[in-house]
Amino acid sequence: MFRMIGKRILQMIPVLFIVSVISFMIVYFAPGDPANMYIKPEMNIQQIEEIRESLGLNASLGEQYLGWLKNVLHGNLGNSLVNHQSVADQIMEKLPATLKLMGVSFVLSLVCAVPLGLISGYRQESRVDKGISLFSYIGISIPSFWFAMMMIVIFTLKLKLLPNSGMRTVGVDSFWDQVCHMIMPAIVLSVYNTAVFTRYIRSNVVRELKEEYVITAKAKGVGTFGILTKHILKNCLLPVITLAGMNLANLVTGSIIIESIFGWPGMGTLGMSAITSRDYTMVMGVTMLTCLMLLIGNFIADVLYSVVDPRIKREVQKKNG
Amino acid sequence: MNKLVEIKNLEISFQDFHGAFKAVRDVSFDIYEGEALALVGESGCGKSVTAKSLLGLIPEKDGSIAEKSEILYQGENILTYSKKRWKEYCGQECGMIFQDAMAALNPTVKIGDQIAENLRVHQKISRKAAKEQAIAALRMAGIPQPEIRAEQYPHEFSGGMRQRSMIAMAMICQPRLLIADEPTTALDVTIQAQIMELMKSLKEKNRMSLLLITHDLGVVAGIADRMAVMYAGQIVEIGNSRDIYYRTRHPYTYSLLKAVPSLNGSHGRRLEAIDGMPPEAGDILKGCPFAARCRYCMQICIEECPPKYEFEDGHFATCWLHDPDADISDCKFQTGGNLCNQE
Amino acid sequence: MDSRKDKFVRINYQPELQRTEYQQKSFLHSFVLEIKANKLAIAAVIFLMVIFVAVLLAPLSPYDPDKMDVVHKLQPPGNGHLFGTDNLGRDYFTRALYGGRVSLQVGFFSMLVTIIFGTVWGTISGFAGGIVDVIMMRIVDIMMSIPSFLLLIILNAFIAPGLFTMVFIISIFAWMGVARIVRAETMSLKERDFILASRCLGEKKRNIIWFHIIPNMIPTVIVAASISIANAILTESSLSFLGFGVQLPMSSWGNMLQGAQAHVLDRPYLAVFPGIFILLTVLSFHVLGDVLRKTFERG
Repeated sequence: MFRMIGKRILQMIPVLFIVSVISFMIVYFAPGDPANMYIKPEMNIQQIEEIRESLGLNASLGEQYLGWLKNVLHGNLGNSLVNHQSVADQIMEKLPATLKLMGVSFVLSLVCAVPLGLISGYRQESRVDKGISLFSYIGISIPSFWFAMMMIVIFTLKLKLLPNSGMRTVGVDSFWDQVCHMIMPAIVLSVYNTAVFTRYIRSNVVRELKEEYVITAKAKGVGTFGILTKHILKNCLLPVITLAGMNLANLVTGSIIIESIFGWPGMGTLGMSAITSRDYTMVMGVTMLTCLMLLIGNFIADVLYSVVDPRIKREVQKKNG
Repeated sequence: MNKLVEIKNLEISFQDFHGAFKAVRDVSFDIYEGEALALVGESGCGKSVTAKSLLGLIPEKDGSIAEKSEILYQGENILTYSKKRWKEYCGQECGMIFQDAMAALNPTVKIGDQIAENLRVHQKISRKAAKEQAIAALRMAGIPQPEIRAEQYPHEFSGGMRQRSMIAMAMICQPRLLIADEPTTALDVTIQAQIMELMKSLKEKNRMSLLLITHDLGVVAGIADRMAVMYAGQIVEIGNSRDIYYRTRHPYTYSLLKAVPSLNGSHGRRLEAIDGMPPEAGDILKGCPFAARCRYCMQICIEECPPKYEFEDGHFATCWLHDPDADISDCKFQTGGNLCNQE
Repeated sequence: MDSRKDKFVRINYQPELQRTEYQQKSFLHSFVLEIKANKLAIAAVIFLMVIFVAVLLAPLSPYDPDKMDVVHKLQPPGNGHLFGTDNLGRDYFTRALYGGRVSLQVGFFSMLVTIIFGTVWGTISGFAGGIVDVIMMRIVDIMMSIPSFLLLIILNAFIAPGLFTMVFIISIFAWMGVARIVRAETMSLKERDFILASRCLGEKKRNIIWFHIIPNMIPTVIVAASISIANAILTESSLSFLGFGVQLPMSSWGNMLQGAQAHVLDRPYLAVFPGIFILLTVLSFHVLGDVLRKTFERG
């Protein structure tokens, strides 16, 4: 078990490395000059060159990358080109907000998807199933930014129920206030995953219902509820764990858009502003961190899966002797 | 002996993509208290479906039991049971063992929990007490180190052990009727005998009835008190095991017995295969379903359904050969019998 | 009585049983059956057809999608303008049709690139096996771990945004899923008897891939294609909404929404129409994908 975990962690390193190379290249070749932020019209060419030199922009791609990598290996993500503050510090400042939003919406989507998927799989082809299916079709098809926009129009502008931006109202520090701010972004962010999970759980339930152990359970006199919760649920949730790990990517991507719409002070907002201001060190920092989050998500899913599924657990034990 | 179960005019039809067909056609038989009844037939003859209907396991979506059918359990029609009564009946009064124990056990639940679940559904009992009883049941089913085994998952068991735990699971509530659907088909021959022996001893100890579904006449020879031979959704012959074996009255049963290898006697005897294929469930049948494969086939066999004849006490067969007019030249078995009143 | 006796004469009976004919139905036939059985599918197909025709016939509209008419700006729906006019007085319905052209084209071509590239990659990887497979799949894994959206934006910022750059950019980060599915399919096909047989007969690898593996993969690929159009349209609209997509004056549903943002309170219909179009189109492609999958599964 531990050997497997160790191996998986080692495997993450080359992936991180290559992702960093690719991202760095894309960032390097992107047009726009970060030095423009500092150049004033009255500067002469020499001054501009000095600024470029001080920002390390004159070095070749390889040199710049190696320099960046060296810093990263020393735990230093560099300083923002825009405000000269440490990238790592700024990210750490924004990270909790993003994690909070992602965590809440992830839990929300699981909490909704499990019963929905179970019901619609069990009552296959019924009216309830058709309703849930339609809902999940809408969930995977709705453009999240549009959904966010409509939510804001309805709940903030028309009904004036919920705040439309930020994490909290200035000067108010209550839990309830934070919850109100959270509701819309969390719902919008979770709707896609809810739909994906529901569809997945439904098809799993349909498949598992055909298994013979369900008949055994029926022969034992176990009722519908017992069959669903005690027998099918566990067999269905196992694959969902993997899916959830993979869908972390959607959460990360989704949160970039959602955060910028709802003005959520998280990594997405940070990344977007970094892109528009061509703040390369910041872009690299955000990119690498999201990549790391993805890898860790997949990794946790894998480990969790092998811990929960007795069959895999045994295989792993066998493999490792 | 008292009748535990009476099955009357059971007719089960299935609906699939291509239309409806009858899997079980007008089957009637009884199961007495404390007896072992074997339901024998080739695959696809409807024996499993008959057994499943006893536990209400016919999928409602595409299978349906005809209105006129009755399954009386201790005089009460189980087909009209309420949902609550069903739950009490399934598992507690009637248990079932399946062919493929690997598939029939939930791969992600511990064996002990699966066994205890049967108890916890039917009795108000603490988790701990149920577990203890489950361990006792495992021990009774002949599983060594039941305390350890109860904590394991199905894939950690061997095939025979799995079937033993299935038996433990079905038996834990001490049902009146145990249905075993091909319980030994998936097992090695040596294990088969052990499992049959186990079922026999449990049956005698608990004074329950046993309904054995099998395609293998050899397997049930030692345990079945009575046998019913099914062909194409109908019972063609039913009677005491002895009568069926030694005083066979139906050409199909006769061919089946010829197809079983025996260890003693008849040296150098060729095993006789039955030519042809059984009719498929969707086929339209007129006359006797076995006619196409019967070596004694007569004109009437393909025109009219054969009536039921009674021979020794409780031994029935449906075949035209027992008609006084029938051509019984070179017939290998005894013919003639009393025509039963068909209502 | 004699006639009764006659009936008990032995016969040699070898019946030809009246078996139900299992006709091999054509794909199109079962596809139509599958659609008919599902109201949602009927709606989806009809909607897609209407959208296609409408988008193709967009030039028949009496309005020029780019012609500004500031006098009649922000008119509500009706009064000659089916969906009203936008902030520059352009007919919103005509713009939506032209926007649909862009969105559907981006979706369609992205799907094409994604599918072709993914299929080729997956087939080679699955068929070659060994170290080639390992390397190719590692590349897929790595591509999948790249947080694509940020890079999409950057890429889009430095390649002049246009229809085909959009296609290129969207496909770059979308082909991996197809490659994975196709690889798995190839691996299982590779071990089937008919492939082994043609291998034994000395068939060239290229021919095996071309004549045996790819035709058998078509069901998988068609389903993936339908989902991939849906996803491409969604991605395009998100990018355009953030202002990184096709540039004005060209319109797509995504950047129509971007423009609608400013007027969301006083003219909500400006946001509603394009959004509904995106939603329904994407949804229809998803439904279509599911129906196709079901049809193939039924066989």
